[in-house]
Amino acid sequence: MTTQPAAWQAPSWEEIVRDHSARVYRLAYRLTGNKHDAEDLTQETFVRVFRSLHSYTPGTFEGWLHRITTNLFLDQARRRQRIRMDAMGEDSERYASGDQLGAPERAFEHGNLDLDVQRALDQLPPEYRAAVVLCDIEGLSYEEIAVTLGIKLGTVRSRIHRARARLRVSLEHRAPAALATAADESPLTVLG
Amino acid sequence: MSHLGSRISALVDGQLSVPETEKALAHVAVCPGCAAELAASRAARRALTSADEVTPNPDLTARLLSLAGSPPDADPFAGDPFAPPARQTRDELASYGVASGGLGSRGWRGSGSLRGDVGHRRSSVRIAAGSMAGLGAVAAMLFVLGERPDVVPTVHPGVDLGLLGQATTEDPAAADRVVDTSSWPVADGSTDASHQTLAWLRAHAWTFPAELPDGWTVTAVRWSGDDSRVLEVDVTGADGTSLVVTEQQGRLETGALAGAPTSEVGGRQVYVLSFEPWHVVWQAEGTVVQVVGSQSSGSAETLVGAFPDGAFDDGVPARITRGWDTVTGALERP
Repeated sequence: MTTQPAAWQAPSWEEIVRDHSARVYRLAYRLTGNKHDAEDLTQETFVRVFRSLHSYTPGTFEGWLHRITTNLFLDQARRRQRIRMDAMGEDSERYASGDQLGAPERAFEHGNLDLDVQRALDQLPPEYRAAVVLCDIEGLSYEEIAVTLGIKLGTVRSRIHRARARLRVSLEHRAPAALATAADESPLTVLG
Repeated sequence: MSHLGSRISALVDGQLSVPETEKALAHVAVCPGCAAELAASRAARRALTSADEVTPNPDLTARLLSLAGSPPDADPFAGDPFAPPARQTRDELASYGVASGGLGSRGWRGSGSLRGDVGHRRSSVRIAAGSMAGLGAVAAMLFVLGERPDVVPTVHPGVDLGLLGQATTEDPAAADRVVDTSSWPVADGSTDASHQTLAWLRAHAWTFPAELPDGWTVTAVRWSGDDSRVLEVDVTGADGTSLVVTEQQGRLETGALAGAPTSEVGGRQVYVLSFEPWHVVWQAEGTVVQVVGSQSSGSAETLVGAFPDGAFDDGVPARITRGWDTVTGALERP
């Protein structure tokens, strides 16, 4: 097993759940786009964590959780994509985002603006969605995203770039307000 | 300088180096196209980052907590001469990241181990042991004691994972043994001690391979269950596979397993209760043996194959033998 510094105390399961479940759920929600799938993904992630807790080394917990969550999501998304291609045929456009976009209860989950943003996210291919969510929602650096998704730095950059371009197009259609508030800023503001 | 392309996003995210950032901004200042692109890219980013915070349902947190299962309460048999040794302490379990409780785990209290619904027979053991009057009475008593309850295995991934989470996978010599009165030689990782442990188990009517397959060692032995009638043995393979073998005297209630798939593992017919985590159960002589591992593997199947064979025998001699085992087992159990 791993050798750990004597001072390091393994966290209890309760601590792990309390400290990390909200973060994992947030990521899962933004990736899957709905509550039900987000809960399933969160639970699946924690089952994996539980099973391989003995191989956990201190200091990488968050990265580890990000990795498990996004990889599980991408696996599922790829599987579903295949099934959908086979089954939906011409109707596939309606189901493009992979979840119940039309479900009325979704409108109650979050505000309108947020719903539009989430729908725009749902329209992205899973790989683009994962990159842009890790960047903008989780605040990861490009290097961290590259490690999490197991892709090159240049790929991270181009995925995020394309994802933003698509987000923009889809937000212009459904929610110009979401972009307008942000566009007031001067384009030349030096970045923080 | 050419247009920025995907460097726009890197610029928005502050992911360019200082000289690169300066160069990019200088370009944006003279290129309306890239300036518009940058503004739009920022807007898209802001739309995402301004998304509302989402919080999980409390139900979900409770479900996650329950994945750990729950260890049994403090030993209720303290001071009882028939009482088994205490289980591993909380600290020792905590070092494997297993929590002691929490919201959801309350439902698991008392079911931290794999165990079927069996009646409490220990009190009858004591009464009977105290009333040995004559040979006939003894034989009859042994016959009665030789009866074994039906065992219905519990199937729940949370319980299986809890069991695995508690398993000792490291060299037990390094850990503080809480079982200080242990009367069986506890494996200390060396082959000799492992042999002694196996010999002890076999001598006490537990079903266990005479020789573990190459690379396997016993890392811990403990009792669990409401009245500690369930034996739990942690074994670790050379490839790091960790399995928990649970044994319980009784007859496997196959009626309750009617729906479970059977499979041939290591030349033996077993019921597969769950594939991931891997959980199989079978009857070996008077014992119901369950093996739980994170997943099926070749080495795990070799271990299952190493167990001795034998069907449940309900004949009179067999019952008397089991009755005798019960008495000696109860007296010798520390």
